[in-house]
Amino acid sequence: MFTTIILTCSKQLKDERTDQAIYHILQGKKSIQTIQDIYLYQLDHYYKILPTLDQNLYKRTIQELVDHQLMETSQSYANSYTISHKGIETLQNRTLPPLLSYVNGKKYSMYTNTFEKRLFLFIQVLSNKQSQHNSYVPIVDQYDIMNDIKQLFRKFQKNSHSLANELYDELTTILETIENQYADLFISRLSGFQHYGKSIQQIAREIKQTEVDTLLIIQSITHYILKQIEQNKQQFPLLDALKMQDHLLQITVSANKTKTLVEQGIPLEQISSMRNLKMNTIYDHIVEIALHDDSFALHNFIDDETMTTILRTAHALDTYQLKELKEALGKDYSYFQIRLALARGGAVSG
Amino acid sequence: MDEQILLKHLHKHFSYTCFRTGQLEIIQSVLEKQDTLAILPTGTGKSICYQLPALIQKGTTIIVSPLISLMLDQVKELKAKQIKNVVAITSFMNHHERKEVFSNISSYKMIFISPELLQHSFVIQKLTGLPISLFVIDEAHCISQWGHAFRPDYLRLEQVIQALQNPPILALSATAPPNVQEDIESALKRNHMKRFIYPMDRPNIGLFIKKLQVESEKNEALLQITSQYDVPTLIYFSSRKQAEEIATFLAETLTNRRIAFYHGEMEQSDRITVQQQFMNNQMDIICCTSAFGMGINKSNIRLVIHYHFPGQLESYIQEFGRAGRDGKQSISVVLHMPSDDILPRYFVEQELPSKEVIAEVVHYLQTSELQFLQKEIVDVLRETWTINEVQWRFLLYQLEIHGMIRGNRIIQMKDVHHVSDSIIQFQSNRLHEQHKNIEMSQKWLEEEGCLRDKLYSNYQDTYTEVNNLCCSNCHQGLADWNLEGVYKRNTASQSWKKNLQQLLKIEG
Ligand SMILES: [Zn+2]
Repeated sequence: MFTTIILTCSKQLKDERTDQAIYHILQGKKSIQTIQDIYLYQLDHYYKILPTLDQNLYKRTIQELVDHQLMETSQSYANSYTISHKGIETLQNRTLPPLLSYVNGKKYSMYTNTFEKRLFLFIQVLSNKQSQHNSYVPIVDQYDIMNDIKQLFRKFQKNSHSLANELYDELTTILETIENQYADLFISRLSGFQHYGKSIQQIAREIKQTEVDTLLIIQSITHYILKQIEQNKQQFPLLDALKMQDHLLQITVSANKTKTLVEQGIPLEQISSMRNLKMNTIYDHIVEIALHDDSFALHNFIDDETMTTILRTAHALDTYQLKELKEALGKDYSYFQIRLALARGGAVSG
Repeated sequence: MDEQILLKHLHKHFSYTCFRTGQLEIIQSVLEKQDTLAILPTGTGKSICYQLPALIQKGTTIIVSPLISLMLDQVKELKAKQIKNVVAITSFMNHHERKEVFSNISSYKMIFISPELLQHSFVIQKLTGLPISLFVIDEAHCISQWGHAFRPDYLRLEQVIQALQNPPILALSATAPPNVQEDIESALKRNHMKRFIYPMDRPNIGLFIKKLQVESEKNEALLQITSQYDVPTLIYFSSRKQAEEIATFLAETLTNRRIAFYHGEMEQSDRITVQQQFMNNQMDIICCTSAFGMGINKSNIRLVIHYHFPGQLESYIQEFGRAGRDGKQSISVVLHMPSDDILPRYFVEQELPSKEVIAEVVHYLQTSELQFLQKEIVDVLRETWTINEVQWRFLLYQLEIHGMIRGNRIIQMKDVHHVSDSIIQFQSNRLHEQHKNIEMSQKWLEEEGCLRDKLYSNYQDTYTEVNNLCCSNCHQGLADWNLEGVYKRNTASQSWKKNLQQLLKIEG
């Protein structure tokens, strides 16, 4: 699965980025470049699906793909590899398990980790409450997560017996719609009264998959669950309450300040001098905000016609490289406008 | 304090109804504000000796502990027992967390802290304001240069204790022969500590050595023993890699057994998972390094196998002592082959910088124009002479006690050769001592007399004699091993719905 995803990414990137860009996408680097790439090359589903991906493992895997002639030396970049002709052919015959089609990194990666931790802790607490037992080692020791769970119990104001029954109904309703083996796998990760769930390594060994492929399966299951919750909030009130956004803000603090000022109608030049930041930094912020927030209005920075021209040119030339586009479009179009157009245009199509 | 009152406290906080060997006497000594040195075998509830006084007395108890994972486990366990005002201050805390802890520092009854952090004047400053009721030194043998786990930072504890206005001390250890006990007292500059020494022999554990020639025989023997005895088992390795490899090998062969590995390089959450699964009988066999076991409270471990023998008999005693906490018959098996001293000798050499490195670093620091030893400089030094973390701590400590480093200032010395000679002398003494320990272990492994007798005669005058399953020199094989009382394992697989129902305790 892992190699198939790498090859897919490499194919989409068309050798316009180094192979390191794939690593950044899968690992979920919070940079404008990476965020832009995922929309430009329609790889947003894979964004941050392996947040703990080890750089060495990634390099080793690339090397293996090169050894199998599925990747070859890049024409555009030194020390980089891109998918080979044989790789493209191989890719056509490879299919990912259907479950993987539910993976949607850009949309759910910001919930995944926190959702899992909250759900697992919630179940552990509930299970121990049900057994009238309050002496156990919690599986999560992060203060904010523990606090969330405490508040949830307060919020629901129900006895543990009815909570347990409701949670059981909600979880089974969703898990019954996926293959048995995956439901099994998901449940085996849970901890409760005198019972500790299996770790990723343990599951990997059991299902005879690599750890990274196991992680991909697990991500897909969780994304699937998140999607079901989202589509029918009324049916899953408990799970929906556990699915709050990650505490970590998506936009950097600095960009967020700029956003607040922009929304108050202050011109960019003035923000730049107020905040003692270079104009380019402010431009970076605007592009970052545009990427993250679809409702952020851009008409003060770029008009519809300019936007369309830029996107049409990008499409015609089949490139999203800023430098090439700038050369083609000429001096009437700024880098800033090109980046904005690509950010929003990509986001719309992706 | 009266025994009855103490029992009431014990029951209130920990729901135990009686004290175990030594606990009452030690707790009474501590409550009388006496400096106390207690040697209690592993698994006899050392921690109650300071946790109960900490909860009874006014003020704060500080506990110095060598391993961060051990401290975190202790804090978790206390919190699980609803004792919430405890904290472990570690170097892994981020700035925000640390700030939060220090701003509420007086609200804690127990503060666990590593000896490294106690070297920071900022930390000391924060602690000096507190009314400290007791200063606990856990694993106190680390203070002894001849102990099996010497930690230079422990030697500086005496200064720390002074800075904290000399609160009463409780030094605890599971393995400290008389010479190490002397070391502990002198390093702490306390000549009249009240000593409580309890015998460490474990009559319910049989000591068996299996002599082999090559490593492949070890794997065969291991497989033979583990497949014959289906009991909760720990297998000790000196090498992380081999612990992982053998865990995989066993898992592939013994398919009906649940097997995991455990070592210090794993993520904390994974370590807790494996530990807790083993405790809850969801795991049968753990392939581990010495990182496993400290703070583990599993009473029904029946079999402890040493795939590699540690560099000292003390470590061995501590490790096999994790078996049979419930008093039931258990077995220690050592897989031994003649070339087994290579690994411990290698680790010993790794712990200390070589003579050449010592001389060169001292020379460099004196002849360079450097005035301060900043982090960047340290990195360069360590890179140039490939000095690992442990070696660097040794070297830095030596440079400090020789007056060459003060704070982070480099002091120019009159007699440089004296400094490097003296450090080299110390290094070679220590190396010599460690190699002697290894030789002692090797000698014990080759003993022909009663292994129990030979093992404990180094540490105590008498031991309880054992008639059945004493050792491999007194008895042939394990035929007499009665496996009664071994846990029932439930491995029947059932549907995920059934599992979820069980977890949530609801009827399907
Ligand atoms: Zn004997």
